[in-house]
This record gives sequence, C-alpha cells and structure tokens, in this order.
Amino acid sequence: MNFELTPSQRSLLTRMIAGYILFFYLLRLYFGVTPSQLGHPPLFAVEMDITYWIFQGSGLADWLLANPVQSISFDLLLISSGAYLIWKPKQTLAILIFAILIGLYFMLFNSRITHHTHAMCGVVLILWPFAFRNQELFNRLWEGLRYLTCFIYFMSFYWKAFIGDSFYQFNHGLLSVQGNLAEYIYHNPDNLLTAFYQWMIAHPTLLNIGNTAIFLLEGVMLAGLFTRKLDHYLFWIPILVHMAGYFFSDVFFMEMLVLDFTLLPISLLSSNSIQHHSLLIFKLLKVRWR
Amino acid sequence: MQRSHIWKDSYWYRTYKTNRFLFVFVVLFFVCSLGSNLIKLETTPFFVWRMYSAKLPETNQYTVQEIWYNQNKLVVIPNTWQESRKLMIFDPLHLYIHTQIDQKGNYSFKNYLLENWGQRHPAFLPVLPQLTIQPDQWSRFPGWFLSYLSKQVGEEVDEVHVLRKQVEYQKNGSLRLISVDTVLYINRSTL
Repeated sequence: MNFELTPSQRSLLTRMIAGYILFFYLLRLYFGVTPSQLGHPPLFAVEMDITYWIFQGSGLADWLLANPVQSISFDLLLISSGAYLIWKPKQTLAILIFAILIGLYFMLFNSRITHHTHAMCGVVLILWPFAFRNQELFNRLWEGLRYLTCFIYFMSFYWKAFIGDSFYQFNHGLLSVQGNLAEYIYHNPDNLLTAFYQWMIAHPTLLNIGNTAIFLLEGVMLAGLFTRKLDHYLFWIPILVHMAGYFFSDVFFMEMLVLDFTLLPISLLSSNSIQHHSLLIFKLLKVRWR
Repeated sequence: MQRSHIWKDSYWYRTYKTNRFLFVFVVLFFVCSLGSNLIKLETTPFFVWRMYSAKLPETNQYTVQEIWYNQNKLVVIPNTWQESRKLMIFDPLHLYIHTQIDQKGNYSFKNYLLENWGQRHPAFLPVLPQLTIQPDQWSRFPGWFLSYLSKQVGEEVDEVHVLRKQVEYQKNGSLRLISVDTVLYINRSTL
C-alpha cells in the first residue's frame, strides 16, 4: 500500500492547510480576538500546564500585548507568513514562523480567556511535519499525525466510557443540550431553530440516542490505528462529531477539523483529482441553479 | 512469512528505518500523549481529551448571565461561529465575578499553588507569583473590560451591569424565568 506523498502533493496540502488556518485566523481578526485588538487583558489563567507556566513566566505574553507595536507586528507577521505559504508552499522558514506564531497565539488566547479550550489543538500540531525539508521525514511525521488524529478521537471516547462515565448516563444528550443551549433559547425564544430545540427537548429520546451514537463514532476511530483501508469512512466521523457539537452543544470546533486532512486518501491529493472534483461540484451547482 | 510483511509494512518499522531519532521522538510523543490522559494532567502539546466525559447534574434549572451596557443594551452573540468573541468577553468576566464577588476575593488557584503545590515543590516558590493574578491586575479588570466591550459593540461603553438569571425548562422545552440578580455594576466615572 502506498503511504508516500509526492513533493507536488505535499505542496498542494501545504496550500490547503495554510489557507484553512489563515481563514479561521482572519475570522478571529474580524471578531477582535487577535493580539492587536485585545488591549492587554489583565486577567489570565495558566492552570496546571507547565508549558503555559513557561509562556507566562517568560514575560512574552505581556510583552506582546503591552504595546501596539508588538501586537500589530505579531498579527501582520502571522498573516503574511500564512499568505506567503499559499503562494510559495515549499518555504520551510515561512512554515516555521507560521507554526511558532500560531502556537503562541493558541496559548495567548487560551490564557487570556482564562480557560484552556481545545478547538485550536489541531492547528497547533499540523504544521510541524511541513517544517522538514526531507520528504521521507515529512511522510513519516504526516503519517504519524494521521495516527494521532485517530488516537485523539478514540481517546475522547475512552474518557467518556472508562474515565468520566458520561457514556453510561442515558440522558446525557438531553442534559447537555439543556445546559449548553439555555442561553440561546432564552435570548431567541421565537425563531425556528429554538422551536426545533424545544421540540427535541420535549422528545429527549432522539437527543439521547444521537448523543450515544456520536460517542460511539468517536470510538470507531480506533480502527484507524490498525488500518488505512477505512479512511474514506473515518474522514466523515470528525465532521459529524463537530457538526453535532456545533448544533447541539453550541461549541465551535471547526478549526480542529484541520486534522481531517490527514485522513484524506492520498489518491485524492493530486491536481488532476482536485480539478476533477471541482468540476463535479461545479456541474452539480449548475444543475441546482437551473 | 505473512507476519514479517505486516511488521515491515507497519508505521513503526518504517519510521525506525527512516530515522532512529525520529522514531524515538514519535514514540515519546505518543507515550506522553497517552500518559497525559492517563494521569489526567495536560502539558501542551500533550492534550487531555476529557470534554463531555463527566456526568451532568440531573437538573432542569440553569443560569444565564447577561451583560447590559449603557443602561438598556444587551450584549448578544447569537451565532456559534462567533464563539471566540463570546469567550473573550464572557470568560474573563466570569472569572472576575466568581473570584471577586462570589468567593469574596478568595482566589482558589493562587491559594492552591502557593499553599499546597508550592510547599511540596519549594524550588518553584520564587516564580509562582508570576503565574497568578496580582491585586493590581484584578483592579485593572473593570477598566479593561469597558474599553474592550466598547470595541466589540462599536460604541463608547460608560457603564455595565451584569445580571445572573435563573431559568427553568418546562415540559414543552420552553424556559421560565425564576429569579434575577445583579451581580456586578461597573461605571467609568467611578474607576
């Protein structure tokens, strides 16, 4: 079985991933949550994470936020290194800068919201294999990241089934929706989505079955640790998991889906194949427009 | 014969053959990732994947926190895709209210770090104050919050009051208001 990406496939991947990450960073810029717009928040949380201790203890976080020169330069450098990668995907220095700045932003954001979220974990990890020029080293690290993706989702199931026990709380689906969507339902009592949520809460069996199904799907990712033959199917699991989270738990984990690129079948990653699929989508859209 | 093919095709064998340092790095990365989850202690980039793993309390009563500014304007972030914005407005405010108002200034993380963890690891004691929020940082928060909220809502915010509402689900899925408390009031003129 072929596990090796060619240099041109690697370039295509670099462009897609840099574009994906950059899109979400620009969205954050638009929402006013990047360093240049924070204005030095005084509260922070490092929790019991030693990496955050080093980050905060070094004074780097406060140095970056204390002065607009540093914080604006940070945003500019991050965005320009990402954009440069889309143009010149083989520039390992740009990858290194982009990866380091994204990692710093991840810790800056989490520490300043005083709550360590996981939505950007995939973004923090995915760029590192591309920082190696050697194609063989890249391939091994990229493949390792694919295993890590399967491991992450399986571990999430393992926590629910064997450590935290939420898997065995039959009405977990209902309680989760009630808790996470209380604010939305309270503030939007009359819209269609609220009506849908209220109907689901009044008929909780569907929510509870759906919740258990999502947990089980995370468990299915274990298969990916033993075979690559199921990647066509496994690819859809993180999408389903995070879409369910989006609509039923009010959490935005779309950045995490960057790890799904590791489950893309290698045969799809060629410019011919991309052209073929784009054409297909275009034809489908054309039919719809008519 | 077939077994040796399976081994030679395996990721671990191919990584070992590619580069031994890389092999050690990859093995260590997986061991640390697994270990972090088993000991339940996150050390970035070895993340702990515990989201939604805890059993939830059997209740139909919940708390909704509302931020009102310039007397009668409500901060509403209706879409989930704007979550990062919501986190930056609501989460530090939540920590401030929890510590300074609900706990009356009792900052539990600082207490744990200095009085418990620090005593067991005295070598770290000199650096621990840098890892906790200091009194002047707590007192700077209301001013920062007003100016950050001004940027977010696109107008000068002079006063903010935060309401904590207790709501209850009815059988048809709708919410009934049970109680309202004003938990925080910030006025620019008093800062």
